[in-house]
Amino acid sequence: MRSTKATLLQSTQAAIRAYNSNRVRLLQEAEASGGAEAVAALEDEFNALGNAVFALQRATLRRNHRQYASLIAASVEAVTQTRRLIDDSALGLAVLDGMAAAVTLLGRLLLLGR
Amino acid sequence: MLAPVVRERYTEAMNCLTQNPASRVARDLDMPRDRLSLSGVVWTLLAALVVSGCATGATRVAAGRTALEVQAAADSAITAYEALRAVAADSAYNQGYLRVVVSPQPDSVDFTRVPDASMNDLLDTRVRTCRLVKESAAQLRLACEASARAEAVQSFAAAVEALQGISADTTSSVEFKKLAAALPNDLTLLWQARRIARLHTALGRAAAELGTLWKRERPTWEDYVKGAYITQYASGLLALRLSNFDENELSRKVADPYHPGVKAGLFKLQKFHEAVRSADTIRLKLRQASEAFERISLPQAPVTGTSQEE
Repeated sequence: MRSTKATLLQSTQAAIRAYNSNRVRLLQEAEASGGAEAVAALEDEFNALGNAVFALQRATLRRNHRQYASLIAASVEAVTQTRRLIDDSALGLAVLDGMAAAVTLLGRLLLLGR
Repeated sequence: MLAPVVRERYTEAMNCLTQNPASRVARDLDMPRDRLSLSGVVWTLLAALVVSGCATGATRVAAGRTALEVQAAADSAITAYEALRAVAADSAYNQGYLRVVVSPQPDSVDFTRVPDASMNDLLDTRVRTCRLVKESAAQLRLACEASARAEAVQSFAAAVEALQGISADTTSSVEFKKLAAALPNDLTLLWQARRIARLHTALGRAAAELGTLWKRERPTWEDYVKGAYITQYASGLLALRLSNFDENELSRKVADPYHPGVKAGLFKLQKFHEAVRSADTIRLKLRQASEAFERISLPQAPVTGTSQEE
């Protein structure tokens, strides 16, 4: 079953399409009956319909914002954890590299001492 | 003089390693710095090895692959969001253009009074989320690559083995050689594997959630693009009649050999086609992002212990 919001969105878009397809004729009739003011009023009605569509779409998208907020928090935490892992890895590798260098040096000294 | 002393200490350390390890380690903790020689180092590494648990290169490969795919998907989504950001400006221009050309008094039209299609605040949140997920994927890839650097310390094993040969200590030779050969490589991998697996799961969860949100919102974005380019703009072009055009200018724009009425129709078709193509360019980016999310291979959920009883 379609939600009220979806139904409203669909009918507003249908109204926009219908107005747009006959826009030149409708504006000419408005000018003939009420002049520039009537034309401006009609166009403002059309703007209101356009804005209503975008507002409904914004509301649909905004519904998910709590999930984005928690996703942002989780991602920040993941970045911190991974950076810590990289730092620890670099430290561990530096230790092992240092040990390798030390042991190699010892080996050379032993060879020299023979 | 130095070499015989070092050789003697090394041999002593190897003997203790196999004969009385626990007391040796305990004593090493209180030893002066110059006596904390190879045995202390080996025991430190051994302890780390035991604590680290079990790891495989497969963990690193799987995490690296997921990270790469998540990075690609987040990148693709960011590209799509940036394309969507352009819709508002295009819409403002197109609506203003249409408002002028359909007006009975075009020179007096306020073309700034048009629907506001801006979604910037919503796009900012989504782009920020994607950037953070991408960043965490990039960091995980770095961690996987750092883990793969185990071979950089293989010289350690080679050097220890060389020392073993020089020391002429044969009592612990087999055990120590096995340990020395395996230790640096295994240690580096084992050390990180659990943390990588945990981060892999976290990234997989974030990517799955982002993918679900993307899938849920894509129809709204499709609708938004269609509304901005087609429903609210291009459909208005259909309302134009020959009287709206300057026939000489129309002939210059449409070269086809038809009478002015047809030329007007063809010109409207051109403009309509331009709008459809603009919408399609953005829709293509939306589709590419969906495909990138579908390509992500998520980490396998841990198998829970199930009863096999009949």
